[in-house]
Amino acid sequence: MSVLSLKNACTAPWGAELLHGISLDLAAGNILGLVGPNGAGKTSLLNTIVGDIPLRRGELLLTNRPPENWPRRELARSLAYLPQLSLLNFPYTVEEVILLGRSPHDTGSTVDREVLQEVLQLTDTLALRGRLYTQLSGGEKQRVQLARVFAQIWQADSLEGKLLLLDEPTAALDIQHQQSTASAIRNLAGRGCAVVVVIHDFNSISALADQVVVLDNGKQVAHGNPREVFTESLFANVFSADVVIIEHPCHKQAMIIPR
Amino acid sequence: MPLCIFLGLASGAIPLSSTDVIDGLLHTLSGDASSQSAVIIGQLRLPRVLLAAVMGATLGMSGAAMQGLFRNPLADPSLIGVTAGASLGAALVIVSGSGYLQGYLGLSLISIGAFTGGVIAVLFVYRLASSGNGTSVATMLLAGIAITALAGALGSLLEFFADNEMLRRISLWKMGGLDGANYPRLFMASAVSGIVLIALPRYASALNALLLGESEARHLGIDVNRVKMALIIWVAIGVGTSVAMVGTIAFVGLVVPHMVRMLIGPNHNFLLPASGLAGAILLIIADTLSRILIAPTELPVGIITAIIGVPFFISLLRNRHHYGMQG
Repeated sequence: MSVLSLKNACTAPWGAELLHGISLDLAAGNILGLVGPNGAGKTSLLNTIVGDIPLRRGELLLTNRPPENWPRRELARSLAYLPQLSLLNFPYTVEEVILLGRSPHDTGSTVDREVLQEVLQLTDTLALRGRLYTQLSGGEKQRVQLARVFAQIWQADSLEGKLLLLDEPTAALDIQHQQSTASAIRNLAGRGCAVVVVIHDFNSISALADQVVVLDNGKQVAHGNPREVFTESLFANVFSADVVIIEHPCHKQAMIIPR
Repeated sequence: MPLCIFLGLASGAIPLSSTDVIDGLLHTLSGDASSQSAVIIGQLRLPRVLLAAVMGATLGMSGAAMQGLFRNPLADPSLIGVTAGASLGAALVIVSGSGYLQGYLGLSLISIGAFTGGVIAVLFVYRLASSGNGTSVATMLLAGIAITALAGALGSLLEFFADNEMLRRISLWKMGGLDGANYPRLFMASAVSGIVLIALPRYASALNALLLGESEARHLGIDVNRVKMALIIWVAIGVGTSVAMVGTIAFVGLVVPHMVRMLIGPNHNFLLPASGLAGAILLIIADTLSRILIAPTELPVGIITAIIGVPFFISLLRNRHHYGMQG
């Protein structure tokens, strides 16, 4: 089942074209890694999928329906977006922040509490649940926001048809939580959730993603399995970076090391 | 709250004992206005205390809604221009129609002028901040400041041309007061504010989500532009009514939601009703103080709320890290 499909998508929110000719297809349970230099258009692409930036040309389908054919709240139950920065500066407790993710649902407080418990465990935020959000560190805030978007699309049985957009979910995290977040994302994908994730660490993307899209200057310059896409010439051309690529001793995916 | 109402009824230029208050209330309810306490309670203090409660609740809840909408704990309902617009509207009526402004008719005309001025100012601010892409809260804040300054300047211009009698009326009106309270005004204020007080809590969940940011609220399935417009309109009507009825009353809309947030947290499901309740209590107390401090003369209640509010507000500013407020 195709959860997300873009055909020749172009956007131009401020006059000049920002993204041109993006085409991709993401099936339920698959993880797509979005990479590219700073300013390549990764966040713009996420903003386009979520509807904050309108399409100028091309086609965007969410589970075979254009976004405007989705009722607002139904879409919110199927599509959740974790932005890079959070503006929240009011002293909510961690639990209250995560439960905001349940606002498109009418499942009742008993179910919401069960969901809360599950996403707290999944994001290793159980110990933070009673704390004030404003008093957390950057990495802790990021895990709480991750728990909030998990709660937004959570349902007890399968997550088939759900789509999660994550913009640098591990940027502020220590290595332990980078790993636990990666395994949480895999867990959701294992239950049928499709995920688009922007991460600057290529080794994490390599281990996590089923497919990668490389953006440069608003254009899609490569698309495919990370093993095939991540080549030394790609890093030289797109990132102006000098790297060696070897095989990871455990999971056999590409491993990128600065030369 | 009942205690405050009771104290408000008992205190004043002629102090009444608790039996007098109960006696007066019973007589008022039975429609009998023969005793002195029944006249004081029924005709003077009851409408006044109830008007204070209704207006305080409206200001408190409107303040909480505006702070949520602007995602800024220092926002105030007057930020969207409603207070300045209303003051200008009132001043305009006072200056242009001085000959006719006698008795209740005059007060009603000033009230209508104030309400109209307030709503026009807000609509203007809202239009300035709206474009094809929706309404920008940051632009609205700046437009509100600009319109407030413009209305202030026009108001000063009017005062420049006004005579002494008009000046005194304008400045008394600006200080705010509940001395014009009577049953027709109370019923009118209650009808309008009642709708506002019922309407605003319906946006509690949307306001909670809006604190995450506008895009995030939209991603949570909330029609952000519709919510913004609805909140602005309800607050304009509520605050416009309060300025029209009792003049500008400083700091209730700013300090009350702050105080309540410190006690029960920022969840609007509780914050909105609690701010309404606390606003009502604060305004009853302030009005009671205004009547007894230099009795038998009355102080304008706006002076009392500012005198209570400002030191409190400054202490909040100094200590706000203690309850986790940033930004």
